[in-house]
Amino acid sequence: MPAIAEAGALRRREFLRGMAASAATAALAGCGRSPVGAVPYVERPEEVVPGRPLFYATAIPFAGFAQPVLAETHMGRPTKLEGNPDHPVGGGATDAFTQAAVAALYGPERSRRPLRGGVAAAWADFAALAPELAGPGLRVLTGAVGSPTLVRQLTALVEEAGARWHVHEPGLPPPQAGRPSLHPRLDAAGAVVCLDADPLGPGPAQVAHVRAWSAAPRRPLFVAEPTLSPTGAVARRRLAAPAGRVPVLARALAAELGLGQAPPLADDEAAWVAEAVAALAAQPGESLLLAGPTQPGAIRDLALAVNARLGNLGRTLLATEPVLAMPPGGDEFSLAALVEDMRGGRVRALLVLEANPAYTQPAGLDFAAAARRVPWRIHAGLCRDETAALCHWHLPLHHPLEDWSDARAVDGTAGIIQPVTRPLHESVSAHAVLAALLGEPGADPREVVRDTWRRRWDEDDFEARWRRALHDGFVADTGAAPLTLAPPPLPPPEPDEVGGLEAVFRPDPCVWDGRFAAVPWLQELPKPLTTLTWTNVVALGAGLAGRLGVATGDTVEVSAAGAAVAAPAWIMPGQAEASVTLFLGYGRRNGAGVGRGRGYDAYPLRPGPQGWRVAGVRLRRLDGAAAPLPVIQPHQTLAGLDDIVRTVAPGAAVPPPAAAASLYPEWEYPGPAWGMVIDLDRCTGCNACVVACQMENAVPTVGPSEVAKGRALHWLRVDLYYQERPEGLRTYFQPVPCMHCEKAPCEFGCPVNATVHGPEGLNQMVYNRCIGTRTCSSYCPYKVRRFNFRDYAGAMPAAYAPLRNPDVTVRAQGVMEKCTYCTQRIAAARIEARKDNRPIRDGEVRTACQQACPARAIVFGDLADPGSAVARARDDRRHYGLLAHLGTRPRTTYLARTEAR
Amino acid sequence: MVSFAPGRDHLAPMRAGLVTAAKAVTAALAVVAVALAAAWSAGGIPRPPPVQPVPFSHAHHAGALGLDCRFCHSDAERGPRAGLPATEVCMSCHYPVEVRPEVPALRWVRTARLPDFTYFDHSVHVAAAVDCAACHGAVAEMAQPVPPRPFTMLWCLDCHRQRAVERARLEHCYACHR
Amino acid sequence: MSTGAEIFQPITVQVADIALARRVRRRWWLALALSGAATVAFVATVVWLLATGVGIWGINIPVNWGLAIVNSIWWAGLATAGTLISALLLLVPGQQWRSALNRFAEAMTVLAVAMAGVFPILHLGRPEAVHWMLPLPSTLGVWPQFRSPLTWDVASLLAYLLVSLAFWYVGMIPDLATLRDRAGGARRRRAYNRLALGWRGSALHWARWRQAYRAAALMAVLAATLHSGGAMLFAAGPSAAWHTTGLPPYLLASGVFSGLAVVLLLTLSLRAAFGLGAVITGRHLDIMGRLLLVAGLAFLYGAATLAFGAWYSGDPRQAQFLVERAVGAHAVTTWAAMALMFVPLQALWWRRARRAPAVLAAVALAVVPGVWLDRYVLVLGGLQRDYLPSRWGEYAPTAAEWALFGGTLGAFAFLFLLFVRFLPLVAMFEIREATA
Repeated sequence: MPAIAEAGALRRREFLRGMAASAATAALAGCGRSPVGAVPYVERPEEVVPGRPLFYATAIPFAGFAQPVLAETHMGRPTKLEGNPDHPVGGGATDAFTQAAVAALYGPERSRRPLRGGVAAAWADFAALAPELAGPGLRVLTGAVGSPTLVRQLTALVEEAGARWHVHEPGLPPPQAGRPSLHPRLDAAGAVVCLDADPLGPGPAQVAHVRAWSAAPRRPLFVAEPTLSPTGAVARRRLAAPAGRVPVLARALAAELGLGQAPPLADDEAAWVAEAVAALAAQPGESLLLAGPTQPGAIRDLALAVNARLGNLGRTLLATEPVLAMPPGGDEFSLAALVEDMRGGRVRALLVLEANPAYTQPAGLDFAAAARRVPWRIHAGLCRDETAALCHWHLPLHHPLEDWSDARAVDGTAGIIQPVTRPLHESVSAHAVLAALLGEPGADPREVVRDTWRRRWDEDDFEARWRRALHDGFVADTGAAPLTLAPPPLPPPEPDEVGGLEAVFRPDPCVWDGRFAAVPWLQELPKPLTTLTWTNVVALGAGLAGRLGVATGDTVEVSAAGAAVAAPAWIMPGQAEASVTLFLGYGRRNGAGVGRGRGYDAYPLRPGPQGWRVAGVRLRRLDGAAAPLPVIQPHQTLAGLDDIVRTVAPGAAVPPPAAAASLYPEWEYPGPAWGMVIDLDRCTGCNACVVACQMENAVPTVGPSEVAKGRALHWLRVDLYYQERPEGLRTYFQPVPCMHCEKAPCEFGCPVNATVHGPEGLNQMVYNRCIGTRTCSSYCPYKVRRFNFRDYAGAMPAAYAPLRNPDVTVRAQGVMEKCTYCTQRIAAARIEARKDNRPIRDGEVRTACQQACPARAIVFGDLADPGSAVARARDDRRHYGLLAHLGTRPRTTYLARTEAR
Repeated sequence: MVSFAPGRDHLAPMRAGLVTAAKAVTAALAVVAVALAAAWSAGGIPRPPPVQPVPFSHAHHAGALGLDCRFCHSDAERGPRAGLPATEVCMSCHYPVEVRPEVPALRWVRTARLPDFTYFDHSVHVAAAVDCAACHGAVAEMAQPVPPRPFTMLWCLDCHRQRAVERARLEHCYACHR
Repeated sequence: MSTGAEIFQPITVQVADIALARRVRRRWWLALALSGAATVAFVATVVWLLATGVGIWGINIPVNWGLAIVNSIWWAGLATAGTLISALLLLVPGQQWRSALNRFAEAMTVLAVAMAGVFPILHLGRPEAVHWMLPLPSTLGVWPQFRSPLTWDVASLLAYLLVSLAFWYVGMIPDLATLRDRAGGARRRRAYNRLALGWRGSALHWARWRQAYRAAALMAVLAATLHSGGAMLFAAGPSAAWHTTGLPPYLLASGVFSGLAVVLLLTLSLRAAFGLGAVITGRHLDIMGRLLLVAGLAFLYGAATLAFGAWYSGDPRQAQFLVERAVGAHAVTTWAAMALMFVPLQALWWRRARRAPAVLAAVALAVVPGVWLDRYVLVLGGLQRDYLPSRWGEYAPTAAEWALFGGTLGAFAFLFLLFVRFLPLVAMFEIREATA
């Protein structure tokens, strides 16, 4: 209350007025809490309009490859990353990791300042020390590197200072000397056969591959693999084969095409091989055989030979100079070599640059013990992780959104990484760290990057090209140079694997090799094929589980070669019976924020840095009660209901539903009437849309215990269904956002008008009116509504507060929320159109999910405009509405999945 | 039992009880009514303007000098927020020479505020030819203006409902809430 | 306690003494202490709930309604029986037997409907905004949504609470005057006098009173709307388990059934505790038993009709719900509910059983939890297995939810004990009238 109450002589009228005024203030403050103060600029920066976002083209490196993005910033803070639509790779789409990269920028797990011996130190102290360290005893360990500037600096360090450079990238195969980069062209292939290959699965090339695949998703695809992958999930014929059996299949396949001797096969294997060969041979030059990086090199060579035989080389399979760099000089650059040298006392100083060998090392390689023999250990990375804990110095690095750098996309196209925000912490650029070792302690990372490009470009138009590269987000025509591949000689057949249980290793689809463990949105992202969150499991087949008496959730012990891990079991559909799958990336111990101590660490079983398989595994059930697992979707069968995911034969139509009568009058739409169509043929369940939606709409995470209770908050979910059919296991993905029903039961149920039908067809959810009766959710047959059972937004670490999209209301405890069709984007477009006095153009409004989708499975637009993309999609013969017989008349509809029987 | 006596008003005690109850209810209602009336009238009584860091007079700039609102609040046409002028805008008139004193950032106290869940866009209102004074009052006549009325939802709706053509859209929740 | 002397005592003395006699039995104190403790636990849980929100419950998506809603419709069901006995029979000539039971049945109704009303408020995400469900003018310019069954549910619950309270109180006025006249101390006299609104028993008083009391006709209608309102909240949604017009009568029938069982239990306990054998005779028990049997059979018929309708609809999801009920996750609960509600009930076909307090008590004791379980299956069944298998979910009530349920039981008992002790629990004047 204002000071009036203290004023001694208090006149009644004034008192009342003061009371009312403070009540009004309290009411206003109570509901809004907008800031009382306002501080204008002293000097105003150009282009900033408060309340309007600015977009900058940049890139996020992932495992050495650039993921091109446009970063949306509000008053200097990034809130969302979009794909760069002009970039040759991805066409504006992104994967889930890239969507979450902006969250990692704000992560509370990031280091705040340099540390020496765990105590705060100054960057200048290190810069002063650095020149002493450079020299023949210096080793640099990095992850995969594609950045031209980083390569230039590392090469200089090797060639000028005599240092050695090692590469350790646990989730991907390393580049091999003398071998080109291979680029499958899924868009050009009429038939694809994958031998334990997962081109559509997570990884640096996922966006490119899924986009290419979605050009014609109904092509024949044959997959043989030990554990179900996204590629296997959309395959026409899938064979569950142990990884150790895949080489046999490869040789059988090659033999059918006239290469080598045919090994004996089981019946189902022979049938699969015959069909796959028929599909490959039917389209010579337009087919593709892929052997996964998890298979031995000989098998990949064999696949190359088969492709050569089919005339696919240069057509569906391109080769280029390697996109990722290799240490110069042809030295042995593996982690094992480094550990060997450290143990031998041949290393004086070790710089670990954005790698975490102390956690990601394979079995039997005691990195920690070896590292302790190194007199100077320096770690440079975003977080104080397991490796940093072993080092004398820890130098926090800039996040890519704070840093100058450059990187190459999977096709080799280079792009400049520019900072879109000032560094949040006392961190440094990786380029500055290397420059300090090279004797330039004060180097500005921007100048270091410009140096790289100044050497490549003419001096006279350098500035113009530089500006253009920053504007576009990539440097045109820098794709990797194509090479002509000679068909390799046929590798000699290797002895068949003896039977027995094998374990295969896979990077986790959500936290990869552990590097994303600290990002809560990725932790809570349902793993596409299990819908599990926050932890990892051991996947095993139903038959094996039955023999061992193991149920999902039971703890099992997996042991091989003297090492053992205990982990919860998961009975996985489509799992080869002789295989168990272990997922990497969990069991983090340091610097992993919310990921610390979750799940189990599978690395101690891994046979080598790129070991994907270990044979002779023993599995036993441990005593103890089954632990509840944080699963988003416990029921993954269709329970005999065939009207949920509809399937049609090629060219067939979905029968139209009987018209449902309604007593309510029809709505009228003077303006646009929004709608969405989702193509089930295209969706590969990659989850990019799910994270994009969370970032755009400031959807908080709820944590594993709340997920286990069934309170996850994702506005958009991807439903997963398994169905055993005579022709094999079928996997269906069905993204389910709000249906925005024309006759919405929720609107009718809400007692306070908190969810109402909008004038453009949207089912509007008004948070500030909601009192939380939850009637709407009880009435929603799609169950797309999410409830704030607790103060989830408030419970997020405060560090993430700047990540929230300022155009979206933060939802309080006790209110319902759901997909809004990104109404803030519609509102922005509507305001612009209104100011120009024109209608909103088709494609002007793109929802976050649509924008992120690499498969272009989601179309959004105005249904009232017959020429719009979404209206045309609705005319497709495969078009249907989910649960249409209920008479809800959903605006989000589907195109049925095509299945060749 | 009480005997029945002719001539006595036998309903009197009962009536008295009812009157007491009625009095209590009336008193309670009166208290509520006074409180409501006070709160309601608060809208009509301008609150005293807060103490600002600079004794800036809108009456002088917008009234006497006749400056357009958008001269200082230039974002009103371009974006959701009208914005406050950068200090250099003030300086362009007050120190129209090269040498200007170093000025710290000004910390104004906001007088026109909306709750965070309400999304108001100045630019579209300017484009729709809504006069600034419609919401902000006669700023040109007030040295330190405060909004003439609290920005209540019903008050926004009053205006939105007068827009015949766009009424359906403007009347709806998502016009302002997201 | 039931000595021969008491039978010849005037009814008035016997009933009024319960409220007026100084000697309070230890049993009453014990019961009051127990239920008081439960009430305190209830209040503490409510404070905890309001401070932290409904996240402390086990509810989730899809099961976003849990024990709170189960309890609410269960309490509302109990509330119907008091009305049936009082209002409906008041309007039917020649049903004087009701006068022995109606007063405490009405008290039970008022308390039960209050308990039923507590849960919908507690279950809100933002209970502080509950008044938005009422048509109050505000600067928001937004009204309640009048198509929503919940809006009408709130209205009917409120109306039922207010009218049943008024009905109970108006009916009690003459007896309060009796208590005033018989009360010992001046303070007590003054208190009862206030409550009796200065009742003098004049012909004019009686005329006015009868006029007011006849308005009870409204109660019968309100009882129906109360249950239709509650049932429509479920039936209006598209959930296959709920979406049937049979639901309102189903809930009404089962409500009356469970309410009669509770009235019967209270009758038997009060009769035993206060030796009211002369007031509440074997004939009363016999009629109550018959009523319970009829209500139970009506409900059985309703349940059978719903099941038949689900099967006959040919809708696979309705059929699936039936199967789910019979052999699914809640099979045990379903069959337990059926057994509790309908098996012991069959004893009441025999007159001797109907006149045996022990048998009646056993039957009623089975029916009340049986109906609760039936409510549980009804609410949960509609949410746990909805249309999309991807959204099938589970639900386990937490300690907080059980505490709230137990707390309302305690609060009900607490308030009822106070009623028994301080207010006329049998309509003395009606009995006097009937026996005159």
